[in-house]
Amino acid sequence: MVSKNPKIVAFCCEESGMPAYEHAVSLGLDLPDGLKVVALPCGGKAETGYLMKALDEGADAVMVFACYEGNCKYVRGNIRAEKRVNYLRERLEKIGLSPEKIVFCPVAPASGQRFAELVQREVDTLLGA
Amino acid sequence: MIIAEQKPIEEILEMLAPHKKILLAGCGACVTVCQAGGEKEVGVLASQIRVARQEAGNPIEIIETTLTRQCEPEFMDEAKDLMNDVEAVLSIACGIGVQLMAQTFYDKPAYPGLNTSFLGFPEEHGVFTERCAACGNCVLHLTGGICPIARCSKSLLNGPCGGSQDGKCEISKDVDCAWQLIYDRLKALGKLENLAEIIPPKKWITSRDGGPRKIVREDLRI
Amino acid sequence: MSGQQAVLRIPAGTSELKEVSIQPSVIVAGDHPAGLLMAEHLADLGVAVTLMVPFPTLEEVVAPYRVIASADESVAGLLQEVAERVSQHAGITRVTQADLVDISGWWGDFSVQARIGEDLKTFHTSGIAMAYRGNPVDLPGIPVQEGVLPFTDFLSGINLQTGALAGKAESPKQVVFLLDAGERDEKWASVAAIRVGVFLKRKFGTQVFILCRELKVSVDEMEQDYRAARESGIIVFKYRQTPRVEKGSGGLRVVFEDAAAISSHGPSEITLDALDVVVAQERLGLSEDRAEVLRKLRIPLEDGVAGPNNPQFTGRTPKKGVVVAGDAWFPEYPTDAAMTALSAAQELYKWVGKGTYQVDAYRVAEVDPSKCATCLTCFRICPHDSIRVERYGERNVYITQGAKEGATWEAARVKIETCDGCGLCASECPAKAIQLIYYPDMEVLDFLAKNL
Ligand code: SF4
Ligand code: SF4
Ligand code: SF4
Ligand code: SF4
Repeated sequence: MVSKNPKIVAFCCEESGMPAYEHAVSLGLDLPDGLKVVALPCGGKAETGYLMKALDEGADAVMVFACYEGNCKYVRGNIRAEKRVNYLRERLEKIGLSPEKIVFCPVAPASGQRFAELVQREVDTLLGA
Repeated sequence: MIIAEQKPIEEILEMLAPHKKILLAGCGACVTVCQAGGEKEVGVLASQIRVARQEAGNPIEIIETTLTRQCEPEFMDEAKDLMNDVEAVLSIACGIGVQLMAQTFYDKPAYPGLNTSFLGFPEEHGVFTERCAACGNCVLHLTGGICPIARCSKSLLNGPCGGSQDGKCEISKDVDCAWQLIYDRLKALGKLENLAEIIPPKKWITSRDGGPRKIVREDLRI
Repeated sequence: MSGQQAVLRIPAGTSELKEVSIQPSVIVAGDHPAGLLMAEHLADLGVAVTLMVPFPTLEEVVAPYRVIASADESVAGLLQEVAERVSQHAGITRVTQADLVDISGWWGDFSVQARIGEDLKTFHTSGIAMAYRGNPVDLPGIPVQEGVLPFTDFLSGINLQTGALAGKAESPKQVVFLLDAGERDEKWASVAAIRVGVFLKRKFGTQVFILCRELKVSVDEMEQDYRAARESGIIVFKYRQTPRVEKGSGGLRVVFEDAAAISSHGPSEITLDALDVVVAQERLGLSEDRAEVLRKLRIPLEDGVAGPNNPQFTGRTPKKGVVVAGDAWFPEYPTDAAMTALSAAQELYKWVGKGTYQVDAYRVAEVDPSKCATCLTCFRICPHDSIRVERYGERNVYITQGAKEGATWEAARVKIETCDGCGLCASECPAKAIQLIYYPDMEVLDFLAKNL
């Protein structure tokens, strides 16, 4: 059962996800206290192992915030991250869990609004499920 | 190298259903290279199993380890102490590793986490194809370096069959006809006359048909 | 509440600065005028430039582009002048009839293999600039048939004095330029077709039709070009679907549906008949052997050119110390290609012009050779071509138990001078043999354990 204040780990690429989070904070937007933010040098550093480990340690959901396709500073980090997320979503379904527990979210650096909305949407999905 | 892939996670969960504490053992050789059973996969699979069992209200404890190689008796020592503490082992080595685990730790069940698929190599990163069927009596010198046993769907020694079309095998448009490849390579080598020679029936006794195989090298025995 | 969340930041950490000295030298190779511009620019800045061109003279590098620019006398003249200046530049070593066949190594220490005439020769250099022409890869959507000339063949076959095409005595009466039938947005052909069209019309009275999906007038001067085209009587049509080219009475016939026609009686078809020549724009891409050289350096190509994958940096590639210009970057009109060439040269100057550099040996990845399974995953995944599996024996030596002293293990090794510390290799290594020194897995795993 997911508690009222779900624990969400946001793995954030230093180039996009992290600035978007900072932007959301600077705008004073509502972000849940259960949000844990992990900065990574690139979305491509969001290893399959990290994502699973977060759920294993008790997170209710994992979000990967990386750059839009074609914008990765390291050419294909974001694409690798998305593929790993898709792979894990499939696995989650097979073990009877909601695939929505792991989501890939491309964001632009100055999109605090979108960051906050995506997190809120994830909270709603978790509570609704 | 040996190419393997992970068993469906549901199957793995079913095998482990009776257990509360297991060892999950990877292997540092072939299955690390084909990304099915190395240290990284050990971590990812362990988390998946724990999460699934947690969700089912039946938590499981998993000790994670990766052996240098699971296909040598000496390396089994690396798991010896860990095995004392667990009810069973889930090995994500190839079938050889699982069996050596079973044989070494005779009183505890060893479960296979992988399906050992074939002998091959990565054609590109993430795409593995079969190259050898370990028939025990190699004919590559006759067939332009392309194995008709492993790569022809019918293992024909004197192909192609009538199903060869546009270079593809009749079983699927995605499978190259091995005999087309053989023809092309022999042509490139200027050795097309090889094809005029009938390859005589093969002695399959060296393959699985002769029962389990064994090699004894007296010169090596200590 | 905002800002109350637990956050794990990438440790600022101590830098482990290492001084490396880089000889200010570059090799510029290729058959596109962009190469001459880069060579000149870098040589003027004091970099030792070796220029390799596959022809006996530099004139041949610019010749086809003078045809493309035949209508702009100033551009055509500039191209010629550049070739002349570079032929005499004291800071440039020219190697003619040379083609680059292989590159290995890293920023500051590349080894370049070139075929010069019949011989293979090895050169050493700190940086590399490649400026290649595109080869026609295909004529998208238009079946090749008699009378249909690929644009590049047309340009190289036309005689600027007589307007006649190769093998013909006089200039064609009518020419149809068939543009952007393919998917890729190649502006260069629109510009070239308009300018060459105006030139043909004015000089030889040729009737010119330009058929396109959309005429790209994004650049300022193009408005002027467009006006010049209209004033000189060039007829421009926009089509909806790729036109059909067929054999007609007394020449070729082109049939298409006019996109501009507003008709209540269904689509309106237009037929241009009795045409001497139809010039079709082909898609340009690198030849297979050149593409292979780039791919080996992990420079990603899309449709045979490097530009679309590296949109943020003009001319810059993920391989440190290597820049690309000309059609190898993206097929462009000569003036645009010159802009790309200059920014690429600037970029390269940053990497080879200073003499000494500080690299941070801390913000990089490191392999534990005792765990490496030599699977090559890291080598294949690294976007910067900064990690290789090799046999080595100085640092990180793993000696198998009981082995003789000096025995080494094959393992992957990171080139710290060019590693960008992105961590792609570390995330994909199936043996978990790689860690980012500045941000090891433990940091993340501890954070997760403590905060969940
Ligand atoms: S002939 Fe036999 S041993 Fe040789 S490659 Fe084929 S299966 Fe393997
Ligand atoms: S089509 Fe070729 S590969 Fe397939 S069975 Fe026949 S000979 Fe073998
Ligand atoms: S990915 Fe890991 S195991 Fe494979 S070669 Fe690189 S360091 Fe070695
Ligand atoms: S950290 Fe990134 S740049 Fe450095 S070796 Fe690994 S993949 Fe290449």
